[in-house]
Amino acid sequence: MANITLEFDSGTLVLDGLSDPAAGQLPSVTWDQRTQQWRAPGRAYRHIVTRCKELGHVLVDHARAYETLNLTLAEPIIPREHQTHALREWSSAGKAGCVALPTGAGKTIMAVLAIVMTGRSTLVVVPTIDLMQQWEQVLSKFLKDAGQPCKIGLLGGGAHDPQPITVATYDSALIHIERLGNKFGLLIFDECHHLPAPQYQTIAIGSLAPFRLGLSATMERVDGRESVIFDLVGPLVYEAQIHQMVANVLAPYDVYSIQVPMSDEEKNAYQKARSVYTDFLRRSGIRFNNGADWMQFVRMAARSADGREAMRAYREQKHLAQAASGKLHATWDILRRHRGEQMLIFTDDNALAYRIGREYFVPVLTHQTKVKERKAFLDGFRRGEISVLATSRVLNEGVDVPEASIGIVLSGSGTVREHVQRLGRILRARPGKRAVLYEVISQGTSEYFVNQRRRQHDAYQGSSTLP
Amino acid sequence: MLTKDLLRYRSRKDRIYPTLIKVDDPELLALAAGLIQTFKSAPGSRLTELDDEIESGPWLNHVLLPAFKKLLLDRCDEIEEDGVIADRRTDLLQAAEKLRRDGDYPTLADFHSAMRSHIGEDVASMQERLYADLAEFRKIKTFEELTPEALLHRYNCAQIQGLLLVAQEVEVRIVDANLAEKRNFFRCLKFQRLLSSTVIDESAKDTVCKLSGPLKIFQNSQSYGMRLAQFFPYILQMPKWQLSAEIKIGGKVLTLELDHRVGIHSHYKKFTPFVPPELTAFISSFNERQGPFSATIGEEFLALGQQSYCFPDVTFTGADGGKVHLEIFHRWHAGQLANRLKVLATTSKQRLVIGVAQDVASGKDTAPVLEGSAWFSVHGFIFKNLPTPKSVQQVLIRHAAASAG
Repeated sequence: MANITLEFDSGTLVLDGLSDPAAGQLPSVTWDQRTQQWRAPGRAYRHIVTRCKELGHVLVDHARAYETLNLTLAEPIIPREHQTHALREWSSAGKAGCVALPTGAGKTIMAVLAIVMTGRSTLVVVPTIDLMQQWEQVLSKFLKDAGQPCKIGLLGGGAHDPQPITVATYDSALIHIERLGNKFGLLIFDECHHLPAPQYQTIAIGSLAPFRLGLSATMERVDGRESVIFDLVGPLVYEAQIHQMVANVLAPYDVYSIQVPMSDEEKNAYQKARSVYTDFLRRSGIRFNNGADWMQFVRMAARSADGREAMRAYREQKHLAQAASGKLHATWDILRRHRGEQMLIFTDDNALAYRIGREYFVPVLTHQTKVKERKAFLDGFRRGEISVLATSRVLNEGVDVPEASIGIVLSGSGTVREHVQRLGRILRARPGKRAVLYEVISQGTSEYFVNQRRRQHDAYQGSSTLP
Repeated sequence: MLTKDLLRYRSRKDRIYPTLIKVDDPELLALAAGLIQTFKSAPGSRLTELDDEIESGPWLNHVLLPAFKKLLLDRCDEIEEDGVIADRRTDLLQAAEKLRRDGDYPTLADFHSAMRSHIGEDVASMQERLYADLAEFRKIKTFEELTPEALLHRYNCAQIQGLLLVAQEVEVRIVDANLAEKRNFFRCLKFQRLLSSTVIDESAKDTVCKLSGPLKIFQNSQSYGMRLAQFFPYILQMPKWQLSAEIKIGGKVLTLELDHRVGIHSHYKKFTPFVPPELTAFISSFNERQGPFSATIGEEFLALGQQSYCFPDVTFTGADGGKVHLEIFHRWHAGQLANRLKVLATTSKQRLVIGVAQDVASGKDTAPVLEGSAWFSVHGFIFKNLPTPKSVQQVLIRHAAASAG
């Protein structure tokens, strides 16, 4: 039996009073030559405390700085069957695990119930400022602490106000986790497929939160690193797919692909730029099999005049395909066809989003949009005062726009994840609603092949191509 | 700093070599001078106008242009827009929304005509104003000038910083640095929240530090890369140094090795050592007493363990050549006293005595710490304004007796 003192030090735990054999019995504890101390990552807190109890050690815990809260619901929530099921599975897994639910299936409400059930200081980590504000609104509405309205803290987008219940962007959580990693007992990762990024892992590793919840529409990653999420948060305890929820929870939908021809001038410019780009790839022996090949291209392109020309040509051909004039006219036809309905226009980059904004005189939401205006646009859209919103990628994830029923994808990264996320934006159920997603593709360009590849996904069931 | 696409380096076998430029190259100095001149006249212009001016220069296809431009843009402040454009945008968007709801326009051109009639303004002009507050249209407020040579040094530094961003750990050997320089080095290390395992190579008088962050022993990621990169200019301030780092790039781990011969000037403000005249006066007065010890300005630093470093103010040398150091605590660094005593109580014996100013010692937080410190009762003393030679000699005697025991 040992007398052990536990302290939190910049994302790690420092253990004092340990002998070599005692340290060997505790998980993740390592001798730190630099400071001549026993040290463990913050995430090992739960296992160390449990093990110390099992071994009968006396533990003086200076590490834990999170609070036990008396949380209640300010408004009643009647969970849907899948939310109850997910919550039960998560609780059975020791309140450490991941839940995969399609957009619109009520992940946030399920998380509110998890926060109340756990009753500990909570940090919710989200990928965007829009989501941070959205979570703040939901948590403020539903949570009461000791019978009083719960003040929700924010970290990110210029805000720095940590509270027992706090919402932070991934970037801000990363910056502050060394100082705040011991102040939260429950850690919720929204859109947790971001977590395997090497930097973001530090948030989960440096926090001592014993309770963890990961939320995403799909855990699947192109690089297959979803196992990192399960290691840092806990196993996948509940999963439901879009097609299982359509009709009951999500609106039914159609997906249409519209191929538009390029003008002769655009086609010539496209082919010319594309051949400069592909010739360079061929000469340099570059084949795109994974992300590292792209980086190789970037590096080689920077080293010679030919390479820089190839990079310029790559950007030009991509821009020509994404912003072909035919797309503008096709989009105008869709706007007319669905006049009076709530529509979202998605682009791959800000330049095209702002071009759309200027051509149709519609609001544009990008990461450059100031917080105040962003809120005004989204509120206006929700109230129906704004019927069309153009956006690049900031609405891909999580932002709740239940009124949207039409999505128009003018350009994108080509990944299944992005497609499912964008589709999810228009699927929140409403009586009588049938959602439509249009994909507008430049004929005879690489966009066509990307579209064909993506159509293998089951979220495309029932889709068709418009002439 | 520079983005990944602006880094230039070669790799051979398991080594990586940043492509540095000659800081006295007349062609590069001319390029730097031309660009700096363009940026000097930029305040008041929009970023797009600055872009146009740069692209019309004779250097358009120069391989270093994007990197120089990035470094110079980093020295610019922009003017925050005043909200007039946003208000005007709201009016235009509301008008367009109403037109689209109320009327059916077969073509985009028809819609534009309706907008022109409704607002009474040319469509192109409305389009130009609609999002005129985006970053690329913002005006430059100030530009922090530098010399062409400094820009070239900054470029070389940024090339190395760009690699250190993806470093997991950095080993630095500091050679021939004086105490003030080392003090600054460790002060800045603490400021960057980096940890160091420090070894003092007595024979070579070198200090060898492995720099990383607390989580490094559990996570092989580049979490501390930004801090290591930001710390690099402090290394450049050392008179002589060697650096070795493992750089993870393109799926490979490559070794970066550099030393002071790269000749890069740090752009960080240099710390200037200062010896208070009172301290000089104390040393003279102490040596005039001709006791068993002679005093000099502190010239060594002590690694006490647990990331505590002590830079003694005075070093005393006995007749046998043995050295004892004195560290003085005044009000402005009293906060470190409690931690210092805690570390000294747990680490191995140090040749150190401590003097604490009376106003610090009587403080409500400090008094109980001093009273409860067995170490301080032997190796410490309290002084009023400055330590007196007599009180210091007494503590040196106590220290010698305790060390001998």
